[in-house]
Amino acid sequence: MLHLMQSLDRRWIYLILSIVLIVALIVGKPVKPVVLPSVQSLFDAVEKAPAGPTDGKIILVSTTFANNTIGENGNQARAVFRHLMLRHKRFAVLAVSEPVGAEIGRIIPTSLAKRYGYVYGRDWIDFGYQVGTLAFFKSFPLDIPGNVKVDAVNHKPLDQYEIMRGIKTIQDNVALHIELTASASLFDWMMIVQPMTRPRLKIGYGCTGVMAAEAYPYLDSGQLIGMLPGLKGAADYERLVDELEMRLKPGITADQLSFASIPRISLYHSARYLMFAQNAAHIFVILLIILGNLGMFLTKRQAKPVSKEAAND
Amino acid sequence: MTNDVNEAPMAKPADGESKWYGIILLAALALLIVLGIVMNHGTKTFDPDSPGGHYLQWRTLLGVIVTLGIFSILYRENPIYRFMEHIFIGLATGYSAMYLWFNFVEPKWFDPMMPSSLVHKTTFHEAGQGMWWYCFALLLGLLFFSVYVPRLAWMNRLAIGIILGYVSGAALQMFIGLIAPQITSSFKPPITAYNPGKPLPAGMPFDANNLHIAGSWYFHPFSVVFIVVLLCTMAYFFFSVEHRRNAWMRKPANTGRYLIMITLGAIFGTTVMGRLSLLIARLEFLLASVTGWWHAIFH
Repeated sequence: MLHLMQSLDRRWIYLILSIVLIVALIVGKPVKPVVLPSVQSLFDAVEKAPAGPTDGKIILVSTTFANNTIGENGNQARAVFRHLMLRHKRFAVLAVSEPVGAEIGRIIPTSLAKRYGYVYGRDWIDFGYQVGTLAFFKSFPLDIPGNVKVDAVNHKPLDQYEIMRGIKTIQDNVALHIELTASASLFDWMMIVQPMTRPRLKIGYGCTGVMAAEAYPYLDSGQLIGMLPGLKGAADYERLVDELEMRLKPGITADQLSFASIPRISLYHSARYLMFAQNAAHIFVILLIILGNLGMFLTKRQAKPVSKEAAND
Repeated sequence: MTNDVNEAPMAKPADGESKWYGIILLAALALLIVLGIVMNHGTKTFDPDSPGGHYLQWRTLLGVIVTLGIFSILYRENPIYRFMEHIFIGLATGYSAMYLWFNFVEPKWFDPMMPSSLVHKTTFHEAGQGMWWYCFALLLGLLFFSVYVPRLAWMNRLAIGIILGYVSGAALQMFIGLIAPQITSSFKPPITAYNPGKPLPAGMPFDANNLHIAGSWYFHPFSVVFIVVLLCTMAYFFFSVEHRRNAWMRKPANTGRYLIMITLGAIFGTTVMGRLSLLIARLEFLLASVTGWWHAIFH
């Protein structure tokens, strides 16, 4: 038994973990997570961002991720877009060096636009795929329409859209940039674009769980205004947005907000719902760690007297 | 004459594995694609939200098969996994190349360069303007391929030189742009003559990082922790003084090592969390697909 506790075939662990997760997904309910300070900071920054219809500024949202991290970045994107639409903030979407991200960045706002009465070209615009060269990051902040030239939906010049009237530079016309990414694209914005602006461009960061720990120093230094770490960050942000929506639209219930299905990119359930399964998986992993360590300590305890006897012999 | 150049070994099937596996799997995929075409016969739009969008069901079926094929590696190495892996890499490369052409190179370079008589598309506003000087960008790009012609290989250096010179100049500026705020933010005074804290949220009894001493003076315990952690961690990486012989260097360095371990533990924890999130997303997709089919068939 002790041997089994320490050397259980990993395939059994995969099987049991899968069963735990499937059961949690079937019987699970949306959790009400404690909101992280970094998530609250980003939420507050969006609330304060002067990107309303008459403010002359927009919010840039970069969806630089692909399907492989849709569980984390996709849920972050949905929560962020819902917030922008609820508060009627005008925004532009782009994906730098990530073709699939450009598609996702178009599908999510399009699927939400009807619900929140958002009109393409007036309230939001899609800059589409951009090649993330050094030249792009150097010139894009100084001349947005000159670099993007045409939008990604209708391939029309940007000046033909109402939202782009008066929008020229990041310095003057971008209130906030939100980078939702699974790559190191954040550093391009922090290293090249941010130093070009005075005061520094406010950057919010939505990353995968793997990348979160390394980004905390940038929060402390103020280079990041807020951060959504992985699925947990998405669930926290979703909670804040759900509460805001229920406050603004008294008729809506919590159940109606829990399943904002977007089947085209496999975002069937809300992040708070998926967090239930995440919690179940964490408990399972902790149990395995405890069992493994228990097995090791008990084996050591059994082995000690034997070794003493062997030494006496 | 023997060729001594070390080449990467070709991936070979496992012992006893038939080479027909690949062909059979390719045939199965082709059959699935034909099935998809038949299912979508008469579908005028690829929008799955439209009524009668068989395309969605076919695509979901394909997604389920590929997901299970990739997951099969968890049991053991097998030809189905390898097949799916190659399909994925090939598809991703092909998709990226096509996307880059149709969404970037064509509208921003090819169409503006061509005269209007050669460009039929009119959706791009700069199409057919005959900006012939754009062709110099292609010539510069082609210099990279001169490395394959030994006589012209020197031309490769021109392109690399331009890129390296440009990037190295910008790299210094970029580095300072990233690090300078980090350095300034690491100056955290433990005691200040003013209260830098924000108003306390409701329900919080006191601000643990802004303790009032006397008068207008405040003490910041977290700043002390920050300074200790910073100095100890830096001491661990400071190799100009031998750690073994100098206790004043060895002790902070040892402490720094433990602090680094705590950080790495936190990174590992978030890594596990991230990987589980990805697994949950895939399982959710499988579960939602099966549930959808169940409802479609039995309800």
